[in-house]
Amino acid sequence: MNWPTGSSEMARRVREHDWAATSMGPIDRWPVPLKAMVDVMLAARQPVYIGWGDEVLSLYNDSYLPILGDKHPHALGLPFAAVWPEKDQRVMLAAVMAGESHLLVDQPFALTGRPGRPMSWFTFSWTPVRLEDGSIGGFISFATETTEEVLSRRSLEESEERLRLATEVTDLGIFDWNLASGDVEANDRFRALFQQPAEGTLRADRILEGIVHPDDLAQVRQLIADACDPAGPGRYAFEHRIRTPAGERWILTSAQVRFDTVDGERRAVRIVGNDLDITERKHAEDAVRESEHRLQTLVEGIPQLVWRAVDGGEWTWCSPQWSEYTGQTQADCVGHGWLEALHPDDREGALRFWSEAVRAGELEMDGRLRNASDGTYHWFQTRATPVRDRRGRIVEWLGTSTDIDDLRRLQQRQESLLAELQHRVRNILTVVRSVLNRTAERSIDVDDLLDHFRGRLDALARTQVVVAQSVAGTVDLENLIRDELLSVGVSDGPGSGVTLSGPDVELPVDAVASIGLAIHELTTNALKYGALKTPSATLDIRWFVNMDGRGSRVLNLTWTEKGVPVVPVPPREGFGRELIEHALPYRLGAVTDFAFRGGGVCCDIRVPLPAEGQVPDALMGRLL
Amino acid sequence: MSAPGASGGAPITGQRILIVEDEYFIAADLRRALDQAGATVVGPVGEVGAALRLVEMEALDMALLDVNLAGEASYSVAEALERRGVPVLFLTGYDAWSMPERYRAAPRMAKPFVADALVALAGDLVKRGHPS
Repeated sequence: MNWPTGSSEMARRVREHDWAATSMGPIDRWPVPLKAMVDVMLAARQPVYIGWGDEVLSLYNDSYLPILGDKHPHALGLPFAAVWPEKDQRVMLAAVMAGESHLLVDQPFALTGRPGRPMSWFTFSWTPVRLEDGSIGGFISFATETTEEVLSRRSLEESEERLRLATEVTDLGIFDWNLASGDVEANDRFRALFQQPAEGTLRADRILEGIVHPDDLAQVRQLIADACDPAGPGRYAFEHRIRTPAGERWILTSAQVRFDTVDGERRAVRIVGNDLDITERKHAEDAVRESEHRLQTLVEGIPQLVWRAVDGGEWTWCSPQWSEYTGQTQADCVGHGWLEALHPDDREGALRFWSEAVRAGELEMDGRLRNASDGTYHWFQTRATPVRDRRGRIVEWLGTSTDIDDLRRLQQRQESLLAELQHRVRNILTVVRSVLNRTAERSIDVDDLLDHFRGRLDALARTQVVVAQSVAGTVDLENLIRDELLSVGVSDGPGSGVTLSGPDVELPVDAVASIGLAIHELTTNALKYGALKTPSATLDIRWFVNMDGRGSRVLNLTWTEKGVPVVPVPPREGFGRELIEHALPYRLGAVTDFAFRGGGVCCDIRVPLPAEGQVPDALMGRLL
Repeated sequence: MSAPGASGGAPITGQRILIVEDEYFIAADLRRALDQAGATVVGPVGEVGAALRLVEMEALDMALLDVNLAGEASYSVAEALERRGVPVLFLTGYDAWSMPERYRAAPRMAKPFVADALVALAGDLVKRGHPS
């Protein structure tokens, strides 16, 4: 017996198997349909399995071996239920043995000897086989490997799922526009975005005309038309507005045009793309732009010179004010270029401040900046604050330089004024004490002392008041004299016997106290002994301004009493005489003459005046 | 008025002392105090130029120097005196802070002053200025 023929492993094994010991009986007595099927099985390239007889014993070909794995070779001749005890196999077996054909689709098998491919899939086609009497003798199952199909189907499903998830999280509206028909397929998001019905095919024209903002429509159409040019890459992306019942929205459209060859000509056929609502981003961008604009306006509007720098004092930007003040361009000031605008003596110090700034976390220094318009240096106070990132590291420095030149000058002036004030107060106290001493030495008793001293103190006080009130730094001579006379109740005018005459003379404040006190002494003397005591006597006070031999102005003041009965000349030199004969020459460089003539006192005082327009600082004036 | 040396300090009898002070009455008081203490007064003068001329011409043992002469600082006089080795006693209404750095530690007498204290301080200064 040499059946079945063939040299395959399974042909040999079927041939050599001891079938006589099984319910199928000796092989030479097998029914013709069975033999025919075994021949087909062994000749087939695909995996084939035959189950036969009451016990449904197993036969299979070489191609089926990988599916069996280590069940081979024992499976040959074993009942199907022993080889495949799984439930669904038994169900399938029962169905096919009842005469039904069945497909068992994509059955997974872990085949050995397939590295990198842990699972394989097969689809089995089960067909019952009938004997000549119509009864079912067994079945034949053809297997087709579907691993590639399963895997590619799964991969497609996965990538579609990924795309779906991705578009969901990105909130992208997706569209596929058929250019020939004008139909648009789109996802839910796209439909919601463009106010389109949730179901059915959309129309491109209706979307463009109805939803896209009229002001943007022409540009949108142009961009699409350009992208449809077969010579180009077919890719486009643009921002445009749409109109919705809820208001205007900004949309970013990105798309790819698909080209195809139609009638021998390359043409745009589809546009596939997505739309994203960027309204919030646009608003945020607008807000940022506005805020930047406001900041820029502020930075360029304030009087301070503003700049930006990195560690070490290397500038990256300077404001227009800096350029205007120093004459430096942007290119001039960056890096350490700004040092050129600084006074040479201040440059080293400035760099030292910068080297300490990082540790100190701030920068504050004064320095002189050169003004390009007139070449002068002004004092500026410079301050900078570090800008830090979220981790606290210094990203850059923002700085301002403020012109404090006036402030510094005022401060210096204030300091010198304060010093002057101290000087004046202490000096006048010293003078007052000296006057007190002199008055005391020449007084008969305390009442006499008080009378004279009060008068002198009051006269000093009056001159201090008019000096302090003088804005121009000068005091009118006539007023000064009239004030002194009034302080003792004397006024000039018809019948008073007192005459005042002379031009307007502005006394420099440093001469006021001395001359005022001299007038006071002359007045008190006249009241006690002279013209103001005697009703019939007269007092003539007159003054004029002369030029001396060197062309300097000299005030010539004369005090002339007449009609005073002869009084004895005081034996001691009085305070008034010392003042007029010694103090005025010492203090003011005056030339004075004091004499008792027939009829009263004659006093002549010549005081050099400063050239007109050259009045000393009011507060710097002298006391006496 | 006190006798020479009444409040301690070395006598200034016969010493030649320059007075530079622009206020007449203060200058006159200074002169009187020094006269009574037996010193020989040079000056007084009240402005920088006159003071410099005296420093140049006169033999001096000491000088009383007002800091502010008619609004003009008298430090140039102080320098001229220093160059000649003449000790200087500043008379000032200023506090030390408003004086230049190099004169802040210099001997000074604040106004208003007491004649005895001034004479005593002047005596110390003369003695220090002429070690013997």
